[in-house]
Amino acid sequence: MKESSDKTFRKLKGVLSDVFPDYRASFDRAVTADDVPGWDSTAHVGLIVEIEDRFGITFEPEEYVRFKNLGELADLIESKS
Amino acid sequence: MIHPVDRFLVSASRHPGRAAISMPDGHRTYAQLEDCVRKLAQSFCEIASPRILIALPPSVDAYAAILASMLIGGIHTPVNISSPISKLQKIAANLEPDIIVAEGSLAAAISSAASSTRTIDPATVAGDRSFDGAGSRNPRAYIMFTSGSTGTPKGVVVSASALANYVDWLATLGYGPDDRVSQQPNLGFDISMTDIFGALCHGAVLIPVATEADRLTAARFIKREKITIWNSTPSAVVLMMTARQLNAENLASLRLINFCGEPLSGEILDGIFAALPSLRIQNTYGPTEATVAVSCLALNSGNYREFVRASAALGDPIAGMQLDLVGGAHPDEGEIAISGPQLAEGYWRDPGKTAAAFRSVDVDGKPVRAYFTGDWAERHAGRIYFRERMDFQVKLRGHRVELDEVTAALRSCGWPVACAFKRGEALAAVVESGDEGAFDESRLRLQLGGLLDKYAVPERILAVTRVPRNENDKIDRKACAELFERLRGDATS
Repeated sequence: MKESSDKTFRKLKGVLSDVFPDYRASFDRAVTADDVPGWDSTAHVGLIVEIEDRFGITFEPEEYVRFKNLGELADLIESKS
Repeated sequence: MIHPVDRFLVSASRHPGRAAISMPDGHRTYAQLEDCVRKLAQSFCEIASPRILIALPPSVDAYAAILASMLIGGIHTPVNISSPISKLQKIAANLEPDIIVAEGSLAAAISSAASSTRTIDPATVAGDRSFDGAGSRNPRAYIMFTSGSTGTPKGVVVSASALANYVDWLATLGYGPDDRVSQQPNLGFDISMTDIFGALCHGAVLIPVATEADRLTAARFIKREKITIWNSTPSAVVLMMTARQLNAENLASLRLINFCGEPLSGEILDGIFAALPSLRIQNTYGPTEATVAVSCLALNSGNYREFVRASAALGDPIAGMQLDLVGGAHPDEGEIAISGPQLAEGYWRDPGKTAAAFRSVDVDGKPVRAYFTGDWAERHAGRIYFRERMDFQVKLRGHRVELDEVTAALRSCGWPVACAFKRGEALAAVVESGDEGAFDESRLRLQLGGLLDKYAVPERILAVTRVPRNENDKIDRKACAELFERLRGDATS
C-alpha cells in the first residue's frame, strides 16, 4: 500500500484531536493506540465511526483492526477514498 | 442432578452429525467434538483428580479441555489469555495446577510460576489414543479467579452440583438444535458457562467471537453468523450502539439476548427494542460466588419500561435459589444475601475470606448458609433493584456517600456512562462525552446539586471521550481515577 498523502494525514489528525481532545502530544504516523490514554475498544469504534463520516468511507469489520499505527490507518483511509 | 458433562455426552450421542462449534476455518460436529474431548481426556487422566489450568483462546480445544476435565474427574480453571502475564502467573502460583493447557510461549510463561506442573499443548496431543467410557465425576467443577481488592486474584471454588443447578435452569430456556449461540465473554469470566453449556448440552451450535474485528463489530457478527441467542454484559451492546450497528438488519436472526454481569440501563433496552421490537431479553443477576446467575427477569418491548428504574429489576430467583435483603433500615432495602444450591464452596485456600463472605442468614426462622454479595438493593412493588456496591461507600468529612448513588445521579442528568470516585476529601467524576458536543461542567454540577447532598456533588467532573472499562467490559473505577489525574496533570502542566 502506497504511503498516504500529507493531506489525508492532516485531516486524520483533525479527527483524532476531536475524538481524543485530552491528548497533549503530537499525533504522528508512528503513534499507536497504546500511546493514547483512553483509546480502548469503545474509543476505537467511536473513532472509526467518526472517520467514516468525515471521509465518506465505510470500514469492513476486518478493516477495524487492519492497522498498527496512525500511518497505516491513514494509508487505509486513502486506499478507500 | 444431571452432571453437565453427562448432558453434553447425551447431546453428542443424539446429534453426532450436527455442527457443535463453528469457527472461521469451518465447523466441528458433535461426534468430532466428543472425539477431541476424549483425546484430551486421555492426556489428562494420568493424574488423579487433576487441577487443570486452561489458557486457550475461545476454540474447539478450549471447550474440549473444559469438558475433558469434567469427564475424567478433574477441576478446571479457565483464564482470560488477554490478561497481563503477571496476573496469569499469580493465578498459577495460587492454584498450583497439575496441568496447564496452553500453547507456545504463553504455556512457558505461565508454567514458570507453578512448580511440578505438566504442560499440554492441544496441538501435540496424540491422535491415536482416546479415553473410553463414562469416566468419573469430581464433586468440584471449576475454580474461577476473580479480581481481589488487594490486587491478588481470588479463586472461587464451584461444585459440580452448583453448576448442575445452573445448567438445569438453562435447560428451561428452550435451547435447541436450531439455535446458533454466540460465545462472546472471555473464558475467564464465568458468564461464558452460559454459552458453553447452554449450547453444547442441547445440540445447538456454539460460535465464538474469535477475532478482535468481530468483537468490535459484534452486531455484524450476529448478522453474518445468524446468531439466535446472544449473551454478554450490557457494555457489549453499548459498543454496537457506538458503532451504529444496532439495527433490525443486523439483529434480525436473534430470538433472545441474555444479559449478565452489570446493571442493565433503560437506554440500552430502548436501543434494542427500537431496532427489534419482537426480541426477548433476559436480565440476569449473580456473582461468581453463586455460579453465574441466580435470578432472571424476562423483558419484552411491551413491558420493559415498568421494570426499569435506575436500571432494570434483577428478576425472580431461579429454581432452588433465594435472594434476601439483609441489614437495611426496613425490610425493603439491604444487602443481597444469596442462598441455595449454587453457592460456591468458598475461596480457594482462603478460609478467612470465605468465612467473611459466606455466613448464615435467617430464612423462615432457620439459619441458612448464604453468600453476602456486597450489593445493596431496594425492593419496589415487590421487585428487587440493584442500588450500589457497598464497598463503594466513602466518607467525606464525616458524611457517608455511596459512589454509585453519585454515578446514578450523573446518569439521570443525561450522562449514561459515568463514574465517580474519591479524590482527597472530595469527589470527582468522569462522564463519557462520546460525540455529544460541548460539555458544561458548571451546569452539570448545578443539576447534581438538585439531586445530591452538597458534599456529594463532585468538585470536578471531566468529560472524556471514553470511560475506561476493564477486560470484562465493566467500568473500571481505578482506571477512571487514574485517567482523571493524567488528564488534569496534562491540563495544568
